Amino acid sequence: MGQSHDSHPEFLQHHFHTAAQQKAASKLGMWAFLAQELLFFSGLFMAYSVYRFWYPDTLLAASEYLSVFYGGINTVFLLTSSLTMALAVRAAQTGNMPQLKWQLIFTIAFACLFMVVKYIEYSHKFHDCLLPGDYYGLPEKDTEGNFVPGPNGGRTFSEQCEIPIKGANDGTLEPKSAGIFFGIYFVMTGTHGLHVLIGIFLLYWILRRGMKGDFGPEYYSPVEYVGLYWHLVDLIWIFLFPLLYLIK
Amino acid sequence: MGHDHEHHGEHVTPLPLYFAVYGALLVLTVITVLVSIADLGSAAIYVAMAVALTKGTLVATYFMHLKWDDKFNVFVFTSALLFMSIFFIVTALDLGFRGQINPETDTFVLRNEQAAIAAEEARKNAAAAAAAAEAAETAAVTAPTGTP
Repeated sequence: MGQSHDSHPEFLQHHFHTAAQQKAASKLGMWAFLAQELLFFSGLFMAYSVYRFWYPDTLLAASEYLSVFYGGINTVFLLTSSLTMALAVRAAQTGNMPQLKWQLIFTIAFACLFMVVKYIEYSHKFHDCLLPGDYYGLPEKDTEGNFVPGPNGGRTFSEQCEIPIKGANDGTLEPKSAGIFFGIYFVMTGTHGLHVLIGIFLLYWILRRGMKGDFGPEYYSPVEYVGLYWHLVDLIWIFLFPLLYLIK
Repeated sequence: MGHDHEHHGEHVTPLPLYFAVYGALLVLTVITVLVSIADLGSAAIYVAMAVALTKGTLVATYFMHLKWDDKFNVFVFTSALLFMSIFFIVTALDLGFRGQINPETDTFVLRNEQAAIAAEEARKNAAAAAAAAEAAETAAVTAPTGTP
Protein backbone atom coordinates (compact mmCIF):
# COMPACT_ATOMS: atom_id res chain seq x y z
CA MET A 1 0.00 0.00 0.00
CA GLY A 2 1.53 3.31 -1.08
CA GLN A 3 1.13 6.46 0.99
CA SER A 4 -1.32 8.89 -0.50
CA HIS A 5 -1.34 12.53 0.53
CA ASP A 6 -4.59 12.44 2.45
CA SER A 7 -3.22 9.66 4.69
CA HIS A 8 -0.40 12.02 5.71
CA PRO A 9 -2.01 14.38 8.22
CA GLU A 10 -0.57 17.65 9.49
CA PHE A 11 0.61 16.27 12.86
CA LEU A 12 2.67 13.53 11.21
CA GLN A 13 6.37 14.45 11.06
CA HIS A 14 7.94 13.77 7.68
CA HIS A 15 10.50 11.30 9.07
CA PHE A 16 7.79 8.85 10.15
CA HIS A 17 5.93 6.57 7.77
CA THR A 18 2.68 6.32 9.70
CA ALA A 19 0.93 7.99 12.64
CA ALA A 20 1.12 4.69 14.51
CA GLN A 21 4.90 4.55 14.03
CA GLN A 22 5.26 8.15 15.19
CA LYS A 23 3.15 7.44 18.25
CA ALA A 24 5.07 4.29 19.18
CA ALA A 25 8.42 6.12 18.86
CA SER A 26 7.38 9.20 20.85
CA LYS A 27 5.74 7.11 23.55
CA LEU A 28 8.86 4.98 23.98
CA GLY A 29 10.82 8.23 24.36
CA MET A 30 8.42 9.41 27.04
CA TRP A 31 8.72 6.16 28.98
CA ALA A 32 12.51 6.33 28.77
CA PHE A 33 12.29 9.85 30.23
CA LEU A 34 10.00 8.66 33.03
CA ALA A 35 12.39 5.78 33.80
CA GLN A 36 15.16 8.40 34.06
CA GLU A 37 12.99 10.43 36.44
CA LEU A 38 12.69 7.39 38.71
CA LEU A 39 16.47 6.96 38.72
CA PHE A 40 16.90 10.68 39.40
CA PHE A 41 14.57 10.57 42.41
CA SER A 42 16.08 7.29 43.64
CA GLY A 43 19.22 9.25 44.58
CA LEU A 44 17.12 11.40 46.92
CA PHE A 45 15.33 8.36 48.35
CA MET A 46 18.77 6.84 48.91
CA ALA A 47 19.90 9.94 50.84
CA TYR A 48 16.80 9.52 52.99
CA SER A 49 17.52 5.80 53.58
CA VAL A 50 21.15 6.40 54.55
CA TYR A 51 20.04 9.16 56.92
CA ARG A 52 17.41 6.86 58.39
CA PHE A 53 20.03 4.17 58.95
CA TRP A 54 22.44 6.55 60.68
CA TYR A 55 20.07 8.78 62.68
CA PRO A 56 16.83 6.82 63.29
CA ASP A 57 16.04 8.70 66.52
CA THR A 58 16.45 12.20 65.06
CA LEU A 59 14.35 11.16 62.06
CA LEU A 60 11.44 10.15 64.30
CA ALA A 61 11.73 13.27 66.49
CA ALA A 62 12.11 15.64 63.51
CA SER A 63 9.23 14.19 61.45
CA GLU A 64 6.96 15.10 64.40
CA TYR A 65 7.43 18.72 63.30
CA LEU A 66 5.88 18.00 59.88
CA SER A 67 2.13 18.47 59.63
CA VAL A 68 0.25 15.24 58.75
CA PHE A 69 -2.79 17.43 58.02
CA TYR A 70 -1.04 19.51 55.34
CA GLY A 71 0.72 16.45 53.92
CA GLY A 72 -2.55 14.49 53.87
CA ILE A 73 -4.59 17.22 52.22
CA ASN A 74 -1.87 17.63 49.59
CA THR A 75 -2.02 13.88 48.94
CA VAL A 76 -5.76 14.20 48.28
CA PHE A 77 -5.16 17.22 45.98
CA LEU A 78 -2.57 15.32 43.93
CA LEU A 79 -4.64 12.13 43.71
CA THR A 80 -7.66 14.14 42.57
CA SER A 81 -5.58 15.99 39.97
CA SER A 82 -4.33 12.62 38.75
CA LEU A 83 -7.93 11.51 38.24
CA THR A 84 -8.89 14.69 36.36
CA MET A 85 -5.73 14.30 34.24
CA ALA A 86 -6.72 10.74 33.32
CA LEU A 87 -10.20 12.05 32.46
CA ALA A 88 -8.64 14.79 30.30
CA VAL A 89 -6.68 12.21 28.28
CA ARG A 90 -9.87 10.17 27.92
CA ALA A 91 -11.73 13.26 26.71
CA ALA A 92 -9.05 13.85 24.04
CA GLN A 93 -9.27 10.18 23.02
CA THR A 94 -13.02 10.38 22.57
CA GLY A 95 -12.90 13.83 20.94
CA ASN A 96 -14.85 15.56 23.70
CA MET A 97 -13.15 18.97 23.53
CA PRO A 98 -15.17 20.90 26.18
CA GLN A 99 -14.51 18.02 28.58
CA LEU A 100 -10.77 18.14 27.77
CA LYS A 101 -10.71 21.87 28.54
CA TRP A 102 -12.51 21.54 31.86
CA GLN A 103 -10.57 18.50 33.08
CA LEU A 104 -7.29 20.31 32.32
CA ILE A 105 -8.52 23.40 34.21
CA PHE A 106 -9.44 21.20 37.20
CA THR A 107 -6.02 19.54 37.07
CA ILE A 108 -4.26 22.92 37.05
CA ALA A 109 -6.49 24.13 39.91
CA PHE A 110 -5.60 21.14 42.11
CA ALA A 111 -1.91 21.53 41.23
CA CYS A 112 -2.08 25.19 42.31
CA LEU A 113 -3.83 24.20 45.57
CA PHE A 114 -0.97 21.78 46.19
CA MET A 115 1.54 24.62 45.74
CA VAL A 116 -0.46 26.92 48.04
CA VAL A 117 -0.36 24.31 50.84
CA LYS A 118 3.36 23.82 50.12
CA TYR A 119 3.87 27.57 50.52
CA ILE A 120 2.06 27.55 53.89
CA GLU A 121 4.12 24.58 55.05
CA TYR A 122 7.42 26.14 53.97
CA SER A 123 6.50 29.48 55.62
CA HIS A 124 5.92 27.67 58.92
CA LYS A 125 9.24 25.86 58.62
CA PHE A 126 11.02 29.16 57.92
CA HIS A 127 9.43 30.95 60.89
CA ASP A 128 10.20 28.03 63.20
CA CYS A 129 13.82 27.83 62.02
CA LEU A 130 13.28 24.24 60.90
CA LEU A 131 15.84 24.82 58.18
CA PRO A 132 18.61 22.82 56.47
CA GLY A 133 22.09 22.36 57.86
CA ASP A 134 23.65 25.33 59.63
CA TYR A 135 20.42 27.34 59.31
CA TYR A 136 18.62 24.92 61.63
CA GLY A 137 17.80 26.78 64.87
CA LEU A 138 14.69 25.45 66.61
CA PRO A 139 14.30 27.18 70.03
CA GLU A 140 15.18 24.88 72.91
CA LYS A 141 13.93 24.23 76.40
CA ASP A 142 16.59 24.43 79.10
CA THR A 143 16.63 22.28 82.27
CA GLU A 144 14.32 24.73 84.11
CA GLY A 145 11.81 24.67 81.27
CA ASN A 146 12.65 28.16 79.97
CA PHE A 147 12.92 28.80 76.27
CA VAL A 148 16.35 29.62 74.99
CA PRO A 149 17.37 30.42 71.42
CA GLY A 150 18.37 27.38 69.40
CA PRO A 151 21.57 26.90 67.44
CA ASN A 152 22.51 29.55 64.90
CA GLY A 153 21.50 32.27 67.41
CA GLY A 154 17.87 31.18 67.15
CA ARG A 155 17.23 33.53 64.26
CA THR A 156 15.67 32.99 60.87
CA PHE A 157 17.16 35.03 58.04
CA SER A 158 15.63 38.22 59.40
CA GLU A 159 13.74 37.63 62.64
CA GLN A 160 13.70 35.62 65.84
CA CYS A 161 12.57 32.02 65.45
CA GLU A 162 9.05 31.28 66.55
CA ILE A 163 8.30 28.35 68.81
CA PRO A 164 6.34 25.84 66.73
CA ILE A 165 2.92 24.54 67.81
CA LYS A 166 4.63 21.24 68.53
CA GLY A 167 6.80 23.08 71.09
CA ALA A 168 10.46 23.84 71.53
CA ASN A 169 13.14 21.19 71.37
CA ASP A 170 13.11 19.36 74.70
CA GLY A 171 16.38 17.60 73.94
CA THR A 172 15.05 14.92 71.55
CA LEU A 173 16.45 16.71 68.50
CA GLU A 174 20.19 16.62 68.14
CA PRO A 175 20.86 19.91 66.28
CA LYS A 176 23.47 18.68 63.79
CA SER A 177 21.52 15.67 62.54
CA ALA A 178 18.22 17.62 62.71
CA GLY A 179 19.80 20.12 60.30
CA ILE A 180 20.57 17.24 57.94
CA PHE A 181 16.97 15.96 58.24
CA PHE A 182 15.54 19.32 57.21
CA GLY A 183 18.08 19.44 54.39
CA ILE A 184 16.73 16.13 53.10
CA TYR A 185 13.14 17.29 53.69
CA PHE A 186 13.60 20.51 51.71
CA VAL A 187 15.53 18.90 48.85
CA MET A 188 13.05 16.03 48.45
CA THR A 189 9.85 18.09 48.72
CA GLY A 190 11.48 21.01 46.87
CA THR A 191 12.51 18.85 43.89
CA HIS A 192 9.04 17.35 43.86
CA GLY A 193 7.47 20.83 44.15
CA LEU A 194 9.59 22.00 41.22
CA HIS A 195 8.18 19.10 39.20
CA VAL A 196 4.67 20.23 40.15
CA LEU A 197 5.47 23.80 39.01
CA ILE A 198 6.85 22.54 35.68
CA GLY A 199 3.72 20.36 35.40
CA ILE A 200 1.49 23.44 35.82
CA PHE A 201 3.25 25.16 32.89
CA LEU A 202 2.99 22.00 30.75
CA LEU A 203 -0.72 21.65 31.59
CA TYR A 204 -1.29 25.28 30.64
CA TRP A 205 0.52 24.72 27.34
CA ILE A 206 -1.67 21.67 26.61
CA LEU A 207 -4.80 23.65 27.55
CA ARG A 208 -3.86 26.46 25.12
CA ARG A 209 -3.17 23.98 22.31
CA GLY A 210 -6.35 22.08 23.09
CA MET A 211 -8.42 25.27 22.83
CA LYS A 212 -6.77 26.04 19.48
CA GLY A 213 -8.09 22.67 18.30
CA ASP A 214 -4.75 20.89 17.96
CA PHE A 215 -6.02 17.67 19.49
CA GLY A 216 -8.62 15.07 18.67
CA PRO A 217 -9.01 11.30 18.62
CA GLU A 218 -6.51 11.14 15.73
CA TYR A 219 -3.77 12.96 17.60
CA TYR A 220 -3.49 13.63 21.32
CA SER A 221 0.04 12.46 22.16
CA PRO A 222 1.09 15.69 23.96
CA VAL A 223 -1.97 15.44 26.24
CA GLU A 224 -1.16 11.81 26.96
CA TYR A 225 2.53 12.44 27.69
CA VAL A 226 1.94 15.45 29.94
CA GLY A 227 -0.56 13.14 31.65
CA LEU A 228 2.10 10.45 32.11
CA TYR A 229 4.47 13.04 33.57
CA TRP A 230 1.74 14.27 35.90
CA HIS A 231 0.95 10.75 37.13
CA LEU A 232 4.66 10.20 37.83
CA VAL A 233 4.75 13.36 39.98
CA ASP A 234 1.76 11.89 41.86
CA LEU A 235 3.53 8.53 42.13
CA ILE A 236 6.58 10.10 43.76
CA TRP A 237 4.44 11.99 46.28
CA ILE A 238 2.73 8.69 47.19
CA PHE A 239 6.14 7.57 48.54
CA LEU A 240 7.27 10.92 49.96
CA PHE A 241 4.18 11.38 52.10
CA PRO A 242 4.51 8.27 54.34
CA LEU A 243 8.33 8.43 54.46
CA LEU A 244 8.55 12.05 55.60
CA TYR A 245 5.27 12.82 57.36
CA LEU A 246 3.91 9.56 58.72
CA ILE A 247 6.95 7.75 60.10
CA LYS A 248 6.33 6.87 63.74
CA MET B 1 -15.98 9.69 16.02
CA GLY B 2 -16.51 6.24 17.51
CA HIS B 3 -14.84 4.47 14.64
CA ASP B 4 -11.62 6.47 15.04
CA HIS B 5 -10.37 4.86 18.21
CA GLU B 6 -11.61 1.50 17.01
CA HIS B 7 -9.48 2.06 13.99
CA HIS B 8 -6.31 2.99 15.93
CA GLY B 9 -6.82 0.26 18.51
CA GLU B 10 -6.38 2.72 21.40
CA HIS B 11 -8.03 1.51 24.58
CA VAL B 12 -10.55 3.90 26.12
CA THR B 13 -10.75 3.19 29.85
CA PRO B 14 -14.34 2.98 31.13
CA LEU B 15 -15.22 5.85 33.49
CA PRO B 16 -16.35 3.60 36.41
CA LEU B 17 -12.87 2.01 36.42
CA TYR B 18 -11.19 5.43 36.80
CA PHE B 19 -13.49 6.36 39.67
CA ALA B 20 -12.97 2.96 41.33
CA VAL B 21 -9.17 3.43 41.16
CA TYR B 22 -9.51 6.96 42.58
CA GLY B 23 -11.69 5.64 45.42
CA ALA B 24 -9.18 2.87 46.18
CA LEU B 25 -6.33 5.44 46.27
CA LEU B 26 -8.25 7.60 48.76
CA VAL B 27 -9.08 4.60 50.97
CA LEU B 28 -5.42 3.50 50.92
CA THR B 29 -4.36 7.06 51.89
CA VAL B 30 -6.69 6.90 54.92
CA ILE B 31 -5.31 3.44 55.77
CA THR B 32 -1.69 4.63 55.65
CA VAL B 33 -2.52 7.56 57.98
CA LEU B 34 -4.41 5.27 60.40
CA VAL B 35 -1.52 2.79 60.38
CA SER B 36 0.91 5.56 61.36
CA ILE B 37 -1.36 6.52 64.28
CA ALA B 38 -1.75 2.85 65.35
CA ASP B 39 1.96 2.68 66.25
CA LEU B 40 3.02 -0.70 64.86
CA GLY B 41 6.62 -0.22 65.96
CA SER B 42 9.24 -1.58 63.58
CA ALA B 43 6.56 -3.11 61.31
CA ALA B 44 5.16 0.37 60.52
CA ILE B 45 7.65 1.11 57.73
CA TYR B 46 6.91 -2.21 55.97
CA VAL B 47 3.14 -1.66 56.13
CA ALA B 48 3.53 1.96 54.95
CA MET B 49 5.73 0.89 52.02
CA ALA B 50 3.37 -1.97 51.09
CA VAL B 51 0.46 0.51 50.97
CA ALA B 52 2.55 3.01 48.95
CA LEU B 53 3.59 0.26 46.51
CA THR B 54 -0.05 -0.77 46.06
CA LYS B 55 -1.05 2.86 45.40
CA GLY B 56 1.87 3.32 43.00
CA THR B 57 0.93 0.14 41.11
CA LEU B 58 -2.68 1.35 40.78
CA VAL B 59 -1.53 4.71 39.38
CA ALA B 60 0.92 3.10 36.92
CA THR B 61 -1.46 0.34 35.81
CA TYR B 62 -4.67 2.32 35.28
CA PHE B 63 -3.96 6.09 35.27
CA MET B 64 -0.73 5.67 33.31
CA HIS B 65 -2.46 3.08 31.15
CA LEU B 66 0.38 0.55 31.40
CA LYS B 67 -2.14 -2.29 31.43
CA TRP B 68 -3.03 -1.60 27.81
CA ASP B 69 0.30 -0.17 26.68
CA ASP B 70 2.98 -1.79 24.54
CA LYS B 71 4.75 -4.37 26.74
CA PHE B 72 8.10 -2.91 25.71
CA ASN B 73 7.19 0.39 27.44
CA VAL B 74 6.33 -1.59 30.58
CA PHE B 75 9.77 -3.19 30.31
CA VAL B 76 11.52 0.20 29.91
CA PHE B 77 9.75 1.65 32.95
CA THR B 78 10.23 -1.39 35.19
CA SER B 79 13.89 -1.66 34.15
CA ALA B 80 14.36 1.56 36.15
CA LEU B 81 12.96 -0.30 39.17
CA LEU B 82 15.50 -3.08 38.57
CA PHE B 83 18.40 -0.60 38.53
CA MET B 84 16.98 1.17 41.59
CA SER B 85 16.95 -2.11 43.49
CA ILE B 86 20.60 -2.76 42.52
CA PHE B 87 21.46 0.77 43.73
CA PHE B 88 19.62 0.23 47.02
CA ILE B 89 20.84 -3.31 47.73
CA VAL B 90 24.51 -2.56 47.04
CA THR B 91 24.42 0.64 49.14
CA ALA B 92 22.57 -1.18 51.93
CA LEU B 93 25.28 -3.84 51.95
CA ASP B 94 27.93 -1.12 52.17
CA LEU B 95 26.09 0.67 54.99
CA GLY B 96 25.48 -2.52 56.93
CA PHE B 97 28.86 -4.15 56.59
CA ARG B 98 31.34 -1.35 56.06
CA GLY B 99 34.17 -1.11 58.53
CA GLN B 100 35.49 1.92 60.33
CA ILE B 101 38.50 3.91 59.32
CA ASN B 102 41.55 3.11 61.37
CA PRO B 103 42.94 6.57 62.21
CA GLU B 104 46.56 5.32 62.28
CA THR B 105 46.73 3.41 59.03
CA ASP B 106 43.95 5.44 57.34
CA THR B 107 42.44 2.24 55.95
CA PHE B 108 39.11 0.49 56.45
CA VAL B 109 38.86 -2.00 59.24
CA LEU B 110 36.49 -4.95 58.93
CA ARG B 111 33.68 -5.34 61.40
CA ASN B 112 35.12 -8.39 63.15
CA GLU B 113 38.41 -6.57 63.68
CA GLN B 114 36.77 -3.51 65.21
CA ALA B 115 36.35 -4.94 68.72
CA ALA B 116 40.06 -5.73 68.98
CA ILE B 117 40.94 -2.25 67.75
CA ALA B 118 38.51 -0.63 70.20
CA ALA B 119 40.09 -2.62 73.08
CA GLU B 120 43.56 -1.54 71.97
CA GLU B 121 42.36 2.07 71.75
CA ALA B 122 40.89 1.90 75.28
CA ARG B 123 44.15 0.42 76.63
CA LYS B 124 46.15 3.24 74.99
CA ASN B 125 43.79 5.89 76.35
CA ALA B 126 44.04 4.46 79.85
CA ALA B 127 47.85 4.41 79.60
CA ALA B 128 47.87 8.00 78.34
CA ALA B 129 45.57 9.10 81.17
CA ALA B 130 47.80 7.37 83.73
CA ALA B 131 50.89 9.04 82.24
CA ALA B 132 49.18 12.44 82.31
CA ALA B 133 48.18 11.95 85.96
CA GLU B 134 51.73 10.99 86.83
CA ALA B 135 53.12 14.02 85.01
CA ALA B 136 50.69 16.29 86.84
CA GLU B 137 51.77 14.80 90.15
CA THR B 138 55.47 15.37 89.38
CA ALA B 139 54.69 18.93 88.27
CA ALA B 140 52.86 19.59 91.54
CA VAL B 141 55.84 18.32 93.52
CA THR B 142 58.47 20.26 91.52
CA ALA B 143 56.43 23.44 91.05
CA PRO B 144 57.30 25.29 94.31
CA THR B 145 61.04 24.92 93.77
CA GLY B 146 60.94 25.12 89.99
CA THR B 147 59.38 28.59 89.73
CA PRO B 148 61.88 31.33 89.05
